Amino acid sequence: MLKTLLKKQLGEVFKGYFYNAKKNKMRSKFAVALWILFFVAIMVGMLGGMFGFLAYSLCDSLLAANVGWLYFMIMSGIAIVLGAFGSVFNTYSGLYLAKDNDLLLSMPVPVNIIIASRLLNVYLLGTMYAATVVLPALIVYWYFAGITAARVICGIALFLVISVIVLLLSCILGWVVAKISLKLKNKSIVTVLTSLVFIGGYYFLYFKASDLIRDVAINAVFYGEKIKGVAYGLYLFGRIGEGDALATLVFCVASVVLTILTWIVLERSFLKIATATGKTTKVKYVAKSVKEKSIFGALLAKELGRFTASANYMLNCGLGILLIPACGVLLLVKGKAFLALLSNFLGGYEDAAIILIITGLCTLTSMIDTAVPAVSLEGKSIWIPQSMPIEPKTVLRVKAIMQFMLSGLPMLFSCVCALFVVETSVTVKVLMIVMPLLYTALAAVFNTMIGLKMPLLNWTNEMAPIKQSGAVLLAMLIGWGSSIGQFLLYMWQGYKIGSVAYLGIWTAVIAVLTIGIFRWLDTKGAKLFASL
Amino acid sequence: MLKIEHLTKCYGEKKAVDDLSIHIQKGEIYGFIGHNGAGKTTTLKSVVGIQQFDEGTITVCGESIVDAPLSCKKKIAYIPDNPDLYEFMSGIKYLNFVADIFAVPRKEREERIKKYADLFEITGDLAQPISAYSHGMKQKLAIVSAWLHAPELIIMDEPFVGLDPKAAHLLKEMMREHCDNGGAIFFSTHVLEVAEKLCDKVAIIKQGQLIKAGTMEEVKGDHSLEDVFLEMEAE
Repeated sequence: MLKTLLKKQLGEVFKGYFYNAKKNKMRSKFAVALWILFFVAIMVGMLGGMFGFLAYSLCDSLLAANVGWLYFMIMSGIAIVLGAFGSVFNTYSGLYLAKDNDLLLSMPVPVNIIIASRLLNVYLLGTMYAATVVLPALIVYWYFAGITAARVICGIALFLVISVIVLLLSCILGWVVAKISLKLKNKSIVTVLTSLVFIGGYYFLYFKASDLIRDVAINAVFYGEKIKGVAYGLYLFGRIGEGDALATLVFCVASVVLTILTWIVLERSFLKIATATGKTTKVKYVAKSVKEKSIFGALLAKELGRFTASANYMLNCGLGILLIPACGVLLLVKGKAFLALLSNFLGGYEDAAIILIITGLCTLTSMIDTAVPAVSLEGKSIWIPQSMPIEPKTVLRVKAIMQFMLSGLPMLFSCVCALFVVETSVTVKVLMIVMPLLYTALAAVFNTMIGLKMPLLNWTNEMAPIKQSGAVLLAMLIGWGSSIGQFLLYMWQGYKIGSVAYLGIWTAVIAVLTIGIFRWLDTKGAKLFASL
Repeated sequence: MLKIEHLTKCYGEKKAVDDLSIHIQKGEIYGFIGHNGAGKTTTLKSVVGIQQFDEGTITVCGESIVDAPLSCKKKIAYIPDNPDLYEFMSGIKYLNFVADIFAVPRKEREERIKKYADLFEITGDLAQPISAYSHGMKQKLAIVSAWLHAPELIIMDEPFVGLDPKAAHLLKEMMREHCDNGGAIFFSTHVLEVAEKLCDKVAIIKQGQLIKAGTMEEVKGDHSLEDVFLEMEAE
């Protein structure tokens, strides 16, 4: 029974490599090989390379200071954080929200076998992330310290202990998320806020980590003694990698005990959480007068409702709404110094810094792409706008305008912020407002067009149209390419005609393109929407 | 009120609907029966303008659904076979959305929402998100939204699926009342007993072709509709 479930679970984990959900058919052998190669390149090349480089820069100096255990403590800490946080939401959704929980629970399958099969999924993912840190760390250590049988055996034990710790932490955090989630009312908003805090925290740590690690490497002996005195357990943990048999034994036994304890907690709570339907406080309906809306207003309210109802939609297609004004504020605070630096660097090119600021803002606009999945998100409900007395062009216009509203206001704010910083002619200042705003309009109609040309209506998970579709990738790449192209073209030839003429030409081109695509949406696009 | 003339719709090589003609007058409840895949849903979708067809004409109150889609759609309400509504909205938001699109004045929409939601006993659930509704509740909401803008012609695809007996009985009464007030209803069903008792006229479709249509008496004669249908299916 367990074998059958494990097989099913593994099939789900690696399904994406063998099955094309969009085309609803199995991938060719060549495509499977490419996907696996791509995945290995990302994991080994990028993550493994990054952590391998970190290990290489740390190991030598820490070994020289005779604190090899500190090296393993740092690398293990990174592996645990990466593995646990990388799979916490996977634990929650994989363990408690799996779509076939009800089906399996209705079958004569013991609960602990269902949990075991689910946990394998979590274990594999967490171990995979942790491996990108631990394996390079071990290889680098063996390279500098030399290979002995004890170091290899204890190194493997360290890897296994870390994988168990990652699993335990994922389970505990996943359980906490599940418990909290049952009590939450506005899940999408809370998820967005939590995710933003995590993203902010990640970048904060990312910028601080290199300084911290450099500090530890320089003062290795001092920190080593301090940690050893305060947290002897951490010292002992680090000793595993150095081949300490006693430390290895202690942590292996501790891991087994903790695993048993976690298993008991999970087994007792799984059934209750997996079958709970969430907070069931019923919102009482009170009849009240509502303001009548026009067709346009009703559709716009519907689009906004769709956007704010989904944390995935907001995070993946609307992050720029916060980033663009944040850039504006940054320009106000650091803009003068930034411009001075750029002027030194780009001294030979008149107003190049201004073009670069515009390019930056336009590039950030590409991070607001609500219009791309908007048609696909109609999904199986597409019969509603199609069967109602609504012109298809109105539906498309609303989707484009929705994106323009979400991106236009932040863009206007940031452009105004930029005006306070730059010193240039009035004409350029006007163009600094007009051109980026027109660009956001172009992005809105273009994204609507791409989403319409590449619709994905038969999705079962909204992440498919929001994040995984080719339309989203294409729109983002074209957005970035066109905005960066503005700057490169200026540096290549544009500066010769001056910033006013250059920005004027771009403004005209963007205006023509916007009108052209808008007309396409009104005519051919509308017909296409009606035929979906 | 509804004229379907020589309707033909192909999916690749296969003719889903083949030269189908049906006329529905004011005051008629017109049943549409046939086996799975016979072409019922394709026909109904073509009537409401969400399915493009290859040949033929469809007119609603004399206007072509192809040439004047908006004018036709204002007169129509459609309930699909599966009530896939906007799950992110609450029931009341969805009803107000429909009312806004059909420009139902405030007073009338409030009265109708109260009347029909009370009838189907979903008033207390209107503040809940549609994602929390059962299939039957979604079906009830779809029915309320269809009646909300007082359409002349109601098109329904398997409207009784998922409804509890009380709601199914209520829907039958509402259908009769709607047609008695000068409206018309064209609906598909597999429940032949319901069709037999409720419909003024009935059409039987097989492999895209209309094989029999007319008043209930003309179609079934002295037999039951089930006997006639099964006999035709066997031929």
